[in-house]
Amino acid sequence: MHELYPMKLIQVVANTALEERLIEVAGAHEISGYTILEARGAGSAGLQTGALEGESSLLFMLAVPLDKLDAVLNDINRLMRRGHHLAVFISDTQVMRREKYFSPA
Amino acid sequence: MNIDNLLIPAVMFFALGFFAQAIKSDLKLPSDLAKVLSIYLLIGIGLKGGIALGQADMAAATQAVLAALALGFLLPILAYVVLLAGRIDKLNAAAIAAHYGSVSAGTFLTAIAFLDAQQIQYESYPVIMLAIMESPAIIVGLLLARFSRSGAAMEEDARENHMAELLRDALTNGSVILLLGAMLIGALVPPPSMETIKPFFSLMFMGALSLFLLEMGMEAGKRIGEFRRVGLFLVAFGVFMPLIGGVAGAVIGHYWLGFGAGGTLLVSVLGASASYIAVPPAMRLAIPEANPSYYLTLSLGVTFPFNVLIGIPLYHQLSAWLTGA
Repeated sequence: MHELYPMKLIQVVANTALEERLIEVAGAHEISGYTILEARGAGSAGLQTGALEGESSLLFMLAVPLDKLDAVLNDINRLMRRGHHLAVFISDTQVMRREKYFSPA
Repeated sequence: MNIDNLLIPAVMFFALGFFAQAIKSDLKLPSDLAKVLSIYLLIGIGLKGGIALGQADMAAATQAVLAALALGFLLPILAYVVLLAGRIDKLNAAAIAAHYGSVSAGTFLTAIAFLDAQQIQYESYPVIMLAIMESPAIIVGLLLARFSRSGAAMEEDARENHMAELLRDALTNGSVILLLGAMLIGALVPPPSMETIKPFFSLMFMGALSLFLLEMGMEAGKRIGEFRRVGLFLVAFGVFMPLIGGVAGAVIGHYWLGFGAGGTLLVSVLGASASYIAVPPAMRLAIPEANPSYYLTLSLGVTFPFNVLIGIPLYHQLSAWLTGA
């Protein structure tokens, strides 16, 4: 049986213009890795077809330890309070090799 | 209006894309094709402008730059006033106004295709104006948004409040870098060396524009469904604002810059067009409170098709009348 560790998976759908700012959030909390996928869809910001920069979305995925969840969500919430159109999903997850998810000291 | 004016491959491909979307065809172009083509087109038009700049009269080029700055700074302010009169909230008005002060390279290139098809000569300076006009409207949009926010609860440390950072974003915008960089390369590289890339950036150019407009036609078609969301006033704004900008551009092109019918048409198109490549990402960062579906639907779904199908022939008539051609 493998040893599994509980973490929280944060998934943010945002315009690609926000990529740098989302990466900064991860960096500010010493979270060593993240994954970004291209995304399409529709929502409060209208149709996001992905054809041009202004209408391209991304899915930003970040696994965070439970004790960092609030701090990371505070930073994401600040972006939303400024008016950025984000969809944020948080779910329970489990990971193998917990040490992969921290920046080296 | 003569229907022959519309029988240009690029315009016909735009109509084909729009039609394919309207009949819900399963036509799909590869992802990122439009982004790749927009990079290619911006480099191509930048090189063309740079080569012209290398042979240009500096006094005339300076006048063109000044005229571009005047249009770039004044049109968004005019658009902002019109939008406020229509009871659009200040932040959405600022974001939309920035799009209408900036320019659409796609519309500009369609106008060049229109002139080429009619064998009408045009001055090269409007290409320089195209590059210059990408940024001022973004700056005006940022200033209008900052003015609109004063008094509103806004975090002091929010990046949207840091003008220096936002100005850096406006001036280092990818489209601006590509256009100005390609112009510099076009102006500096000796003509014999330029011959090596000419087949790619010159001979294939109108074919690539046709592909780009095919996808933009599909994009415009997808946005028809968004019209209800943006409302009648904004859809009407998307038609009338280009007419105002087109007249302003034609007047500047003819009376200030002394261009002929071709050059005047191109300046008119610069005034009439609304950005859908450079400005939307800039506004996403600078005015996040604004609703992107408003400015994207207007610039891409209303104004771009209007200019390509109706506006360019109209501005041509106006330019020909002004110049007596």
